[in-house]
Amino acid sequence: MLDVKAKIGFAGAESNISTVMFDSYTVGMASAWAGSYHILSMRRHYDEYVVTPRTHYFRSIPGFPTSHPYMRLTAKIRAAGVTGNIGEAVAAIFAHRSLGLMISDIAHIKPNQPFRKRKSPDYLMRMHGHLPGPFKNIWPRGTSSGPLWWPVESKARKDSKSTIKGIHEAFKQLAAYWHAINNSNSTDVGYGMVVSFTYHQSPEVLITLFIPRNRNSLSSHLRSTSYRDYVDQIENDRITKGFLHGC
Amino acid sequence: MDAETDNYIIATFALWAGDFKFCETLLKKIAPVKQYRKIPDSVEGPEQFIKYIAALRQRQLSQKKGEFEKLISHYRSKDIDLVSSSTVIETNHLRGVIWRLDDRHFRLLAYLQDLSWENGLFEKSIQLLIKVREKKISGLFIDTRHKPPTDSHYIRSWGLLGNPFITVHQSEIGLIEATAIWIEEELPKDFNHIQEKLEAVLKYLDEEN
Repeated sequence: MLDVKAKIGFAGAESNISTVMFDSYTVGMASAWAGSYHILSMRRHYDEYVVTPRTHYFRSIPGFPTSHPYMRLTAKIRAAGVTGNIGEAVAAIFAHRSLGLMISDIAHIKPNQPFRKRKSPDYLMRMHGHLPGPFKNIWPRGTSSGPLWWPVESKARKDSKSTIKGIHEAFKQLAAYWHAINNSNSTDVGYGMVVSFTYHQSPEVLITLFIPRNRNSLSSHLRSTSYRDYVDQIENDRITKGFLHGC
Repeated sequence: MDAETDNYIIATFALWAGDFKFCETLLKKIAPVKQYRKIPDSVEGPEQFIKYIAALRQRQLSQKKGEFEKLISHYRSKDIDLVSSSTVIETNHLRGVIWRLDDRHFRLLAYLQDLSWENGLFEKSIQLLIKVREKKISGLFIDTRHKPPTDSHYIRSWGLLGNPFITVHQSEIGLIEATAIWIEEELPKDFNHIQEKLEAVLKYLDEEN
């Protein structure tokens, strides 16, 4: 069982919201579906890349030790494509399991070869009625549950330091989506979710919610910037200043 | 748009299973490629975003198909016959493709083709596992010492005894993977028997029994 923590924005305090079991078959199949890379057996890779107590639950065979196949990795490094695939799957599993979304609410939209100019988030998820849900204790007071469709980005990183970097990378993809829909759906701008899976040291899942503090100003700001200016602003995190909770 | 979003999501499952023709058919319904070429700087909301991705996936699929067809024609000139079609099986709510892994291993990758039946699938698999545990169905077995899950969470695994010996895993996002191993010394004379056994995997889940 992995701890699931959540926070608002980059700077929000982390709060425990639940525990979740990431079994290898589910991660294996979900990442073969949502992952960008063609890996033949994601389940077996997951078994070896992420140390879980799985083997402990096998029916015991006297004389056979409950050793973990991770030991075989001591002479190799993890392949980036495999960890990338795992990363792309965790959000769907979390959404189905912890938010109670139906399969028909989870649209995996990241193309195999992304658009050149604009980065698409991994998923659009139909969250209506499911939020704040498990996030009720950290949800900013007086804030609505947000739009019907949320952009969701999913990442897997080896440790908490890399996870923080990953959240910043993921944010760019969310912001690119906001920029794209700003003219038609300005009320959806500023809402997004990053699901990060830390797999090496003390495996856990961290949910980072982006919720607008001042949606009108954010929308006006996006409208006033050209695509090139806006990319530069995201790179420097200037877009988040004052516009989003916890940023 | 709900039907189009459903079609898009099913198309992504079809892509996972290698059910390419069906995937293309669904994607074409959502977004004709000619109408959704380059994504503009401004998009008319999330649903239109999905349409652009659907069109992009069609183009990517078409490109990969073209590459494979070239390879096939290369081999054909050497009298090696390869085809770009695959064996598709379907039941009322499920659809899958069978792939050959080696001489003795075959794999069925199946998925929900009717997303409104999600709860039905999970209920049926729970019922099936309970029946297997109580030994009410001969020829099926489960290895796990845990009780069958009572909600949609977690993987469900079971197996079919006999030849081929089959293990089945159903994930919580409705994807089903069944691996059949031909266990007799003599290799199969025809494919019908293996296909019927793998079809039975889906029928246990999607038909009254």
